[in-house]
Amino acid sequence: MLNFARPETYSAVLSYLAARFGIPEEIFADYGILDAGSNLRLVSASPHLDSLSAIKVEVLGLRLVRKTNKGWKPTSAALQFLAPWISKSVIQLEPAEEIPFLQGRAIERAFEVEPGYVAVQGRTGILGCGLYRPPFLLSQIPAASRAPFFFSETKE
Amino acid sequence: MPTKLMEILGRYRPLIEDWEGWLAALENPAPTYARLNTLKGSESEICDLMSRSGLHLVPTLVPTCYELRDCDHPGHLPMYFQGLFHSQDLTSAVPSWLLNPAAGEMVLDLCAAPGSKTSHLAQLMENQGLIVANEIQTHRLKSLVANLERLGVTNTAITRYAGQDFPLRIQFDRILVDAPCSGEGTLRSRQSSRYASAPRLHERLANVQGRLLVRALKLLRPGGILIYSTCTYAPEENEEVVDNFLQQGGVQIEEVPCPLPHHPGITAWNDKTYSSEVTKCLRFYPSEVNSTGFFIAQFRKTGDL
Repeated sequence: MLNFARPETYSAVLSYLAARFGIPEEIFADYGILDAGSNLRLVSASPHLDSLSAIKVEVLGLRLVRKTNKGWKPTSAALQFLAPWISKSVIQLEPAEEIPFLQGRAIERAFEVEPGYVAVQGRTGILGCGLYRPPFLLSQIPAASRAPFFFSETKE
Repeated sequence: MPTKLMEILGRYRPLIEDWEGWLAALENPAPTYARLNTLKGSESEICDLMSRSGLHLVPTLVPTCYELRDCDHPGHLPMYFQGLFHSQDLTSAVPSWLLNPAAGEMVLDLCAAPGSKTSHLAQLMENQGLIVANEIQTHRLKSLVANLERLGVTNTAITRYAGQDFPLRIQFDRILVDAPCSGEGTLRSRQSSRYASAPRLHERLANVQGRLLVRALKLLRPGGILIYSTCTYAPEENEEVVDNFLQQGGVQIEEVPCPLPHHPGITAWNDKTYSSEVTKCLRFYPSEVNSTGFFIAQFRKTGDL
């Protein structure tokens, strides 16, 4: 059986995403939210989902948020996916700050957003999740994804 | 051409009309291709964004797939991390494209890691319906999960069964069997030192491939579509597997229109002959498609197996 989030959890996470990032709750109408231990996962609604109870599923859908002691922590993948609907708590990086952020380094300067988790935007869209703890923006890019990034115009 | 590579590939000389051209193609590195991820934006938006970022995209005959010129490490671009595109050989994108799943369907990718074809299927299905992406090898699950997350796939469940033993409790509308194979189609001269052919390699792989197809057929609903693909030239893993599969009944092979240059499956190899039906298979050669060598066959389930 798939373990869908309890109604109060479902409402709480959607309220958080709406309050923090301005993501309208209506966009989740075509999705279900699964409770997968320390994570909540976003899955496309489908009548076929019922058939999954007949097999053992390792992973389903996209990791949306992680539960922490201090509340929800959105994943970088989820913020990238939800980018078209994010209207609040966005930090726009300077071009020179993008690669350091993607490589996991902290950016030290003041931003006009409330402290907490933020969607960090570069020239090509939402790059991922950051934690703004003034005066630092702490990169939340997963360590395994911190490739030696470059931009094509700087490639040599 | 290094001696080792010639030992492996030399036996295919009777199959290749333009042998010199084929060898010449293997002397050069394969081009880099990018499949634009329409789960993250429209094709034109992503194309514009990449072009404005200084990338040189050249359209191909496969929808949403572009040659990415002058970019040796596309996986290091921020736009790759953002999931705006996936780096994938051109011929590798053909099986999912030909499978052509509809948005609400139930689809099985029986040998899914690292997820290139699974994510392509999700893109074609607009993240609707359900894909089951199966992968038995634990160490390959990590790359499968990472790619699906990066590309924003929400309609996929990952399972970890031996493909030939996948539980028969679900039926699928379409199934992709991109089988483990000897991978000779990916060989280029500069990589040959990494390739080691094991004794009876083709025979052992053909056994697994045959069992995967038999299982897939049982998992397919009557009338459903099954695509079998490999990235090898070996007839033992291609036409011979298809020929044996057809002999079991309950399935028919279908003609597949494909705009990429290709050749029909062969009906004789060494001392064996195969049904004329295998000419409906597609063989792709690097010298003609400027990508990796590939083999594809499409079947329709006819009975209630």
